Amino acid sequence: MRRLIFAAVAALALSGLARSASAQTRLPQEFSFQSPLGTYDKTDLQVGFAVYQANCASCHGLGLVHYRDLRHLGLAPQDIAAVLAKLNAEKSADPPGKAPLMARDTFRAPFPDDAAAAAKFHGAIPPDLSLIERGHKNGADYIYSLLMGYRAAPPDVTMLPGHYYNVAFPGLQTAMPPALKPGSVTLADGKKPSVQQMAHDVAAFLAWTANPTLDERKAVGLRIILFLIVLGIFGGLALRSGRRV
Amino acid sequence: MAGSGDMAVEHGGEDRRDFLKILFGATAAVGGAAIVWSFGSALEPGESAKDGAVFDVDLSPIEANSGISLRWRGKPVFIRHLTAGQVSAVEATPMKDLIDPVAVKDRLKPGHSQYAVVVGVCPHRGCVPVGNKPTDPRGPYDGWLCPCHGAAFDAVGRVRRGPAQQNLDIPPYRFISDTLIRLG
Amino acid sequence: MDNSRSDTTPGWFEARLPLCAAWHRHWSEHPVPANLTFVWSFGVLVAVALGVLAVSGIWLGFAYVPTTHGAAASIEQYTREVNFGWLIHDLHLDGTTMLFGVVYIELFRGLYYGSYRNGRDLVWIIEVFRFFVFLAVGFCGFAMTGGALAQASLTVMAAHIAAIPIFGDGLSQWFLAGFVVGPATAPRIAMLHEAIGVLVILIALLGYAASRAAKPANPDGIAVTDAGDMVPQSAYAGKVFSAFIIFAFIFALIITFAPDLGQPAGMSLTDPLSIPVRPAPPWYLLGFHGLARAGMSVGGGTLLTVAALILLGALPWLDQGKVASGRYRPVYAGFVILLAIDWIVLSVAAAEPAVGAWPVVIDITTIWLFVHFIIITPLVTMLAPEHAVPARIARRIA
Repeated sequence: MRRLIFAAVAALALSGLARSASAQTRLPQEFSFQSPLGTYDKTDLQVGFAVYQANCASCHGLGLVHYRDLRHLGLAPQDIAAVLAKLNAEKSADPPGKAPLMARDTFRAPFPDDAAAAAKFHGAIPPDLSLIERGHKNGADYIYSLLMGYRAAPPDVTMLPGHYYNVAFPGLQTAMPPALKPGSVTLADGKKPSVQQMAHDVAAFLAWTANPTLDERKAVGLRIILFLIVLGIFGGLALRSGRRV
Repeated sequence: MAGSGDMAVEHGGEDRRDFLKILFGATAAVGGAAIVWSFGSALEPGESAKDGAVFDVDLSPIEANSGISLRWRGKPVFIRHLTAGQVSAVEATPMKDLIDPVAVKDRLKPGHSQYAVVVGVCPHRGCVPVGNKPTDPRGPYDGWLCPCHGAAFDAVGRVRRGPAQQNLDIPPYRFISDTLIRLG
Repeated sequence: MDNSRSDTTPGWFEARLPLCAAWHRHWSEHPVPANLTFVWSFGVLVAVALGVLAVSGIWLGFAYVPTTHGAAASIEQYTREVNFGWLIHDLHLDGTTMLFGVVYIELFRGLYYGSYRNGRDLVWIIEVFRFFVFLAVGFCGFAMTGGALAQASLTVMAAHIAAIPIFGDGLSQWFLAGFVVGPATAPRIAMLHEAIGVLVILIALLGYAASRAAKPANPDGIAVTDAGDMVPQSAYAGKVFSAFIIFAFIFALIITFAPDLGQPAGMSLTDPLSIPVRPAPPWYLLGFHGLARAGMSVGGGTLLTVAALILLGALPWLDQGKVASGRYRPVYAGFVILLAIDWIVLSVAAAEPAVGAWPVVIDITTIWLFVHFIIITPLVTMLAPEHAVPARIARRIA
């Protein structure tokens, strides 16, 4: 049996080697939540939310996130109320007479339906971003790489109409124009974050929308692990003392 | 717990063994309780369901002598903006004429006596009374009228005519400002 | 360990429903061979994993909406909005990984130590059948998660079912409740998952009853006849407990640090029209996915997957040796280990796209799997040298 387990480990290690060759267009980033015990950095998430509102929300929805969930980013109820008041003052795609947004609503969809989005963007429908991070391997890295991956198309590439060359996008041509506008976000201290920081923080924010329970998972999971260690020790002692008799 | 084979064991060893057994059993019980608690806690209503449990209602759009209906925890809630005449009319009603005598001031919030807030479920058989829409009949007491069995309520929701024997319920609410209430 | 109960007169409840007596007779005092190793505790772990899956499955059932669009959304909302919803979801998801981990090891234990010998042929057939039903429930559960990959997997499975001669088309329409994956499919797959999920517990109990009726399997692969070689099962309490703690520990590690382990990447796609770059089933189905791909045609794939399971169940007749345990026939034991490696390589290759050398790897490992069962097993067990088998168990452990 022992030989068998060794063989299994060796075979798995080989397959890992074969896999690592595939990611050359990614720009790996440091995210606080990627380490085993790491949690979300709430400052990053708040900036990421501001970046999303300023640069993404006009095309991409977040159908699984409620405005009340923003309290998990460290926003106070009056901050959330301010966000809602600003949104309610803006012109939206909602039909007139619709009730104003409340904290219990999910993020406002940018388009009433897919057909409206397709009509505006020549058939390309901007996907909902709630789960985009989980839809890709190392999703936060993917989002960062995608946002930073716009290049001038090499001369041998024929571009599709209305598409942009992006080294991180599968197929290299995306219908999404470069989204992050420098200076579109102002932090509390008056500074304007660089495009790199904006890409990093919005990637962290979208990782949070895909895994909002990550911090709780790690906290509860560690308690379970500690409990099992204690239970194992006590059980071992009890069984051993029983056997000595 | 001592069987015949344990007689030779010295007393101290047996105590230690029992202690370890109890310690182990107690730890396992704590784990079991944690599992039961977390699965039980998962049976509580989720956040979206709780959202409907407490929320704020803006009263400023309600014209005098009109009302709105809304849903609170799945139940209809009626809010009516009373005129001064309606308030004095219900206050003038003698207590002995009431089926379920309650003073008007106990059915309204002090300082905000122009707003009546009631649960729109008839205490008789659970029908939803009419009288909130402008086109609805309000019954003989200028309040609400139950379409099922004809119970009639006054403008603050007190029952004036059977078969109902109790007044309309009042949901828990408080005024946050002059025109904003928090239900729940 | 605790004989005190049998000395005293039974209480009111015990006299009317002798549960304690049944527990003692059928579990703690039940005689088992004295040479059982750690892996023999895995039967208990199968029961633990099934219990976790049953309870968490009931809780998920409170929220699951069996419609094409509701499936993924309802569970996603459950994990976000309900207290410990994420934990219950992951207990179910990763519980599957734990169950199949234990079941695969148990199957290879049976192969290695010849646990299908000594009149245990029916026990073995039930175990293989149980494995097949686990796979079916696991597949339905995966297909229930909604999303593009789940839908595609249903289409593929329907094509496999349609390849069955004569009845295939009808069965596949029963399976999909239509001609393609449509609105009626989701409730049907959900019901199939839940109904077979209950049935599988019955099958597991049947296997347990048959196993208890037959001569107990053990690492020496001999029919233990001497009462002196038997010990009450409670002697293994420490082994079972440590196996349980290790199981729970690994389970907790997966839930805490790698909840998506065992699920294909790109599972939760937001766009129902796009399929991930490398569509693949969960890890426990990968080997069979590989066999199906090696089959070249849909019918060939169905044939190979079914044939592999039938050959596994036919081991009691394919094995021609006089001894059962790998301990006393090293050549055959080597081939069993080779088979395990073969299966792992096949699974890894099946997760890769059909480019480069991977299709060749799938073909070679598939051919080797059938060569092992059809040629190697009868020939090697018949011809290769075997060590002398002791009449009594070689080494007492408990």
